[in-house]
Amino acid sequence: MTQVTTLNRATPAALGTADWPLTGWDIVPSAMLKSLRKRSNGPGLRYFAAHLTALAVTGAFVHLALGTWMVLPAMFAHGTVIVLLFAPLHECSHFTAFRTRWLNYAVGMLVGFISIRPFLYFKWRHAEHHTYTQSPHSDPDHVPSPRSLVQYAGLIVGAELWPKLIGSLWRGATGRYNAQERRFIPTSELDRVSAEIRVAVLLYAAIVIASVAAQSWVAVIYWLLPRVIAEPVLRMIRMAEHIGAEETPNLLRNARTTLAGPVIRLLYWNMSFHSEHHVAPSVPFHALRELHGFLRPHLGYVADSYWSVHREILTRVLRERA
Amino acid sequence: MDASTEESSEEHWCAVGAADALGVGDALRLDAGEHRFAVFNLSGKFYAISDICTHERAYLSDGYVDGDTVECPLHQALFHIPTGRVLAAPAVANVRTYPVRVCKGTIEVCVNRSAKS
Repeated sequence: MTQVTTLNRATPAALGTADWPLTGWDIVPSAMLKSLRKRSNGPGLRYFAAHLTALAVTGAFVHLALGTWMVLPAMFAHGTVIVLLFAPLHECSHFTAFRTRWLNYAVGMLVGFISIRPFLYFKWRHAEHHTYTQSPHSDPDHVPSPRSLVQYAGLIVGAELWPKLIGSLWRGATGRYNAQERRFIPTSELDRVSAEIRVAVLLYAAIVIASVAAQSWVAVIYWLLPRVIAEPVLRMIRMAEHIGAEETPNLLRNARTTLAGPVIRLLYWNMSFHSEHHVAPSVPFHALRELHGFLRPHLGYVADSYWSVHREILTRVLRERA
Repeated sequence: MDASTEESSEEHWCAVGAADALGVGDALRLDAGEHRFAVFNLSGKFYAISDICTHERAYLSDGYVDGDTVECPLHQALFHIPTGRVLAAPAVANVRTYPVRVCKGTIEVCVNRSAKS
């Protein structure tokens, strides 16, 4: 026997979890979303080539400046390009840098190695950040607003970042993940995450041993030192993404878009359109500017520049001190 | 609508809409009682799967469709639409598939049977 009834289209439903139901994601018309989230390899390859070219140019500056005081600004510029490899790492973690999935894995793992941020660990941690954006209890990347100049300076220099980063390498290599990590890394992926970290740690150790054996400073001069001294640039950019925005699941108001110049847009792969990215994480970096055109009137936080965001944060800190 | 998805001797087909209203690569989200279905148009052929990702609560009908796969919008788990097979973590379980037919231009989904893959 066959029975036929009519089924109604569902009304929009919540995304995320029961305790942090994300809202605002359904504001983008589905036809627009479908058009914007088309993936291709071309833009990602072009941006990656531009990033590698910038690395080569700033690396050459460092080489030419060796033995002069200019080496410090050259290293800082080179380090800035290195730390902004966070952008392709991030885009690859969403599989939106390239249409070809393995290319996202390959580039993600390469830049993760250079940035000392293992790709798979980052991917699952970042997925949790998208699920619980701005939840004070569950977002692993939640950063509370600084309440003093010391706290602000600590965020800029990454006072908590380095211990966290080294700790995650240690726990990943030994497989002794903490409770939070066991929540955001799927059980089926734990071995893969550890394998990537172990290979990375072995390669770092090999670089150290080879450098000592050859009495070479190349790795320190062209990679490690620039990467460490320029981390505050990335901290300043990332602080602008959520600090001061609402701590609610409303995707239109729990992140901030900062209107950046063409250099940052290029080297940060358009991620300054951060609210747009949270509303529609499946939209590739190269379409975020177009999405911004549609979303801007609906967004709670749009800043004119990174300086203006930091001025706002500092003003708040100083007002609280007074 | 209070359709049950339990398999019984009686086939329960639900009309979900006009076939020509669902564009190629598009998806529909539908409710049947507590159950949610996603109907996809892949190059003119229609498929229905359970709409909820087997990893966490997210709607596959909102996912990115590429060829015959759909990527979960929340954590990028990948599913093969015609068979429901999971192709990439974090999901580890397949999604259920349902038989689909087109009768007089209307898409119908059998909500109490699994499709043969």
